[in-house]
Amino acid sequence: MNDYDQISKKAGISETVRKIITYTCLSVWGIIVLFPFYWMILSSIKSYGSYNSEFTPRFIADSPTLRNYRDAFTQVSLGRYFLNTFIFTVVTTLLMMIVIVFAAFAFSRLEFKGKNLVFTLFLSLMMIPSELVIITNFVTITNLGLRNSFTGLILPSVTSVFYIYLLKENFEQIPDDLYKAAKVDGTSDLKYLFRVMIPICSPTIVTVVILKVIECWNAYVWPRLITDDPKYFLVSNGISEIRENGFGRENIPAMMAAVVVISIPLIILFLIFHKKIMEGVSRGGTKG
Amino acid sequence: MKIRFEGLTKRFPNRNKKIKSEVVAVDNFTFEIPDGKLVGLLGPSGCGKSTALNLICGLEVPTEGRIFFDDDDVTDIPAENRGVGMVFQSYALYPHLNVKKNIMFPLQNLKGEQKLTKEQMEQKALEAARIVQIEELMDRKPREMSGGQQQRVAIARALVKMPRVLLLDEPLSNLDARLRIQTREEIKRIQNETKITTVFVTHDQEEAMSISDLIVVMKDGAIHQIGKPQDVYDQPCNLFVAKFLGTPPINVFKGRINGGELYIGDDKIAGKEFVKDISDQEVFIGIRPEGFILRNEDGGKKGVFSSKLLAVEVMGRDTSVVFSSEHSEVEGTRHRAIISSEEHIDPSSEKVFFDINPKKLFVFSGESQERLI
Amino acid sequence: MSKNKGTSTVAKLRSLKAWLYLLPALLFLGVFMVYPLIDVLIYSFEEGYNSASQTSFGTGIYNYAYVLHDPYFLQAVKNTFIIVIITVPLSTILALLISLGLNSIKKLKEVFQTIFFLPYVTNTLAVGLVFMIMFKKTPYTDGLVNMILAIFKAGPIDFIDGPYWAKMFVMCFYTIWVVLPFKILILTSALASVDDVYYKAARIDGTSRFRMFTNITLPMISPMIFYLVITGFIGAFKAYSDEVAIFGTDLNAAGMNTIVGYVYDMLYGDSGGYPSYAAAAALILFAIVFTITVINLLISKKTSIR
Repeated sequence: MNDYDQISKKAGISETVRKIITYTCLSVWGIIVLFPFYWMILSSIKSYGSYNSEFTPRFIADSPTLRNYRDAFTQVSLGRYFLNTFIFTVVTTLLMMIVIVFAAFAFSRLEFKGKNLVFTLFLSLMMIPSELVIITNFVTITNLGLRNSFTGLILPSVTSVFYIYLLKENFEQIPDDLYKAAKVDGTSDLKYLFRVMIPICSPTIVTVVILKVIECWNAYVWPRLITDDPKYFLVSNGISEIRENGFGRENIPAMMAAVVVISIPLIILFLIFHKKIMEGVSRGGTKG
Repeated sequence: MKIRFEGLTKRFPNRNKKIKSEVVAVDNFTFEIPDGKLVGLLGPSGCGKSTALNLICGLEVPTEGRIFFDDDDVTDIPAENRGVGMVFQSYALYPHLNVKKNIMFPLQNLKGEQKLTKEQMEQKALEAARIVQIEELMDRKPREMSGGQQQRVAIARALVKMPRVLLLDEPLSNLDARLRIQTREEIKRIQNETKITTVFVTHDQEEAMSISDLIVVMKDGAIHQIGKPQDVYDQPCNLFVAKFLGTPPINVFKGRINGGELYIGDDKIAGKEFVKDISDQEVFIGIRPEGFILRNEDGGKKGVFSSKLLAVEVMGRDTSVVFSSEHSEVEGTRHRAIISSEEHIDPSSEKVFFDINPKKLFVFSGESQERLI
Repeated sequence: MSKNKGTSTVAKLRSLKAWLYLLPALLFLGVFMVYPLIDVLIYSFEEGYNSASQTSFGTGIYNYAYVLHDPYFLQAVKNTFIIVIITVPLSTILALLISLGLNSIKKLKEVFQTIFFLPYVTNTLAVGLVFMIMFKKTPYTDGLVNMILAIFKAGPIDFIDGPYWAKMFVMCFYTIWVVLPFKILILTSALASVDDVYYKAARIDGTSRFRMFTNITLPMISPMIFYLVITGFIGAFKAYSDEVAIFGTDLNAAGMNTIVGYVYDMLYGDSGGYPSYAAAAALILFAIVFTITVINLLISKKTSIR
């Protein structure tokens, strides 16, 4: 009996030790992840004077101020960048949803000649890296005189082969009988799409919307190529612009205030939908 | 409303793309479904009965031939404008809508003059729900209901626009045995109340026999027989129909007609008065289980047909005598005769003797399998 | 018994309708993906193409030769390869360790998961700026990281404008910070999908934890690990915006340019206006990524057969 006591005691100790190590390691990474966020908020509420007087940075703000936030909106066009990004995100996402819902509907529900061939071609497009096509797109948009315009910003990103594929797979899981029933009940194809397919697949659609919104909000490369007029900058370009020509090089606190403002919408979105977002991403979303 | 088919044919390309020939799902249908009747389309799976149903409702377009509702040619009218109601095997309820919204769905598609106000729709939905007795379930979602309840919702949804034709595709196959009997009576009652011409598809002959006014027996896309259930059972036109109807199934033996007399092996089953003047040939002989009349050997009066006794199963109401014969159509078949439970049979005897009730005895051509007698 | 004329007309009409639904997608993909793909090939072989006058001298492989001899390009290739070689294995191993940790706990699991995923949804340009100021040494302050280094009697080092390997360290650190959320997420769900009965059976047999990991867990999640390695390689080879986030838009000056950065620089900006060079560089990148992916796939196939 004594032996068993010892074994179970030993097992208990090693279990506890293991747990402590696990939690410590996870916490360390947690701190590494969260610290930049803490640091940007902290820096953003330090006044310009107090920030620059700290040779050794301090982990708390003695006299927190919101002045930097006012500066961020008044001294640089953060408000405009924000609005631009908002418009860009909403219009791009909306247009893309229309395009991909129709395409996925055609692939999943309608019968037509050459369907398999077209779909295979679609899939093969998934392998094409955006870096390759962006060169011509840049030339195309420039030649069309669409630089520094929302049209030029939005047009190349309103289709996504991957999302069409994702949605098509989801649409195909709806039983055929439902379509037949709707037909017999006098429903047109379009009505069936909007009243039956979209509601049933709403979880996937919401996921796609969220992923696209994140993608749009963080878009950098294309907007940078296509806009050089700050009137059309999105937040990512805005932040580069602020960094290089903004408040004067050393006004770090105001810069951090701008960073906080830019980061907040997505973080709020994430906190609300974190389950959906994580589920959506793990179903095959990749960044960019 | 009558439904009339004229030379209706549907061919599909073969699933195996290498085979060029087409599959004929419905082969040259010409017949009429009378107004206000309940018609069962009956046949083994893959016989084209579901295709026939899809042709009536417009989900499939016929390759040849026409379909008429009364005198209107509806062949080229798409499903959404045909105004039929349909209940699917899987019920096909919209999973994101509750019962009320499911039932109202067809009404919301009405256009122009037929358009209803919201109150009218709700009123109609409630009426339909009342017919199938699910008024208290209106707020449930499909997944919160049992199979039987879902079935009723599906029927209500098909009925709500008072369709000219009601179609049911294997309506009972997803229900358990007890519910099946209950629901089929329900379907009969609803059809009686609404007087809507109703066509239903089933592979279960008992189901079709029990509630249909008329049954259509199909095989390989072709109609084999149309008639009232009892008539088809009593007068099958060929071996397939005879085999397909009836539980336990009909017993089929290889036999022959020789000199105006009917033989199974050496047993003479019937004489000239039965065979009449049919020429000598190989035949199949079908005997319904209830057509056997037990003759005990020791009674002195030997029956016309002898066979090897395998078992006696007492069912209470009646008794099944299980026997085998070396002349079975399919070798090794366990045949079944049903006799009154008052008859006595010694289970240990080796042989059993029967007389045959001529009304339950059918003779089919050995070649064409068409009925001769 | 006439053949129904309706049938074929109806089928044609249906087909037409389907194409109509597909039209927007086909149009956008055609203009912004298929056409550019062909065009970029043409660009890359057109010598001396000038985007202003839209003229070229002729065709040949001069663009490729130019790019391959450009010291900026070679520097970019070197940087990219270093980033790939350091971050892909390191981030995958780190993600695996973190996922194993996450999978072994119950309390706070979801909280940790949510926190770890946070970098995925943040604007990398914005957070890069925060990293920059944490690592940067200025006349006014040594910065946060140097303050920590000072505790260990090291530094101060200027990570942003200083020695190459210091800059590379920040770059790799930030890259890992950015790519880890996706990998953790994929691996945690892969680990969670391994059926518990295998572990139960192994425990009853007295299998050690290490053996359980190498003989049960690893084989079970190896497809996902390969998936992450392959996508990780592809992603790391395309590194660009994380570099801009830390070092600003003039990556050549910082000596931290990447291949994708080189492509964009050739296309646009102060050094831009040479789509032919950009196209050649992009195609070289594509060739590298393609080769590495094929090698990866071959290895993963071999391993899974064994």
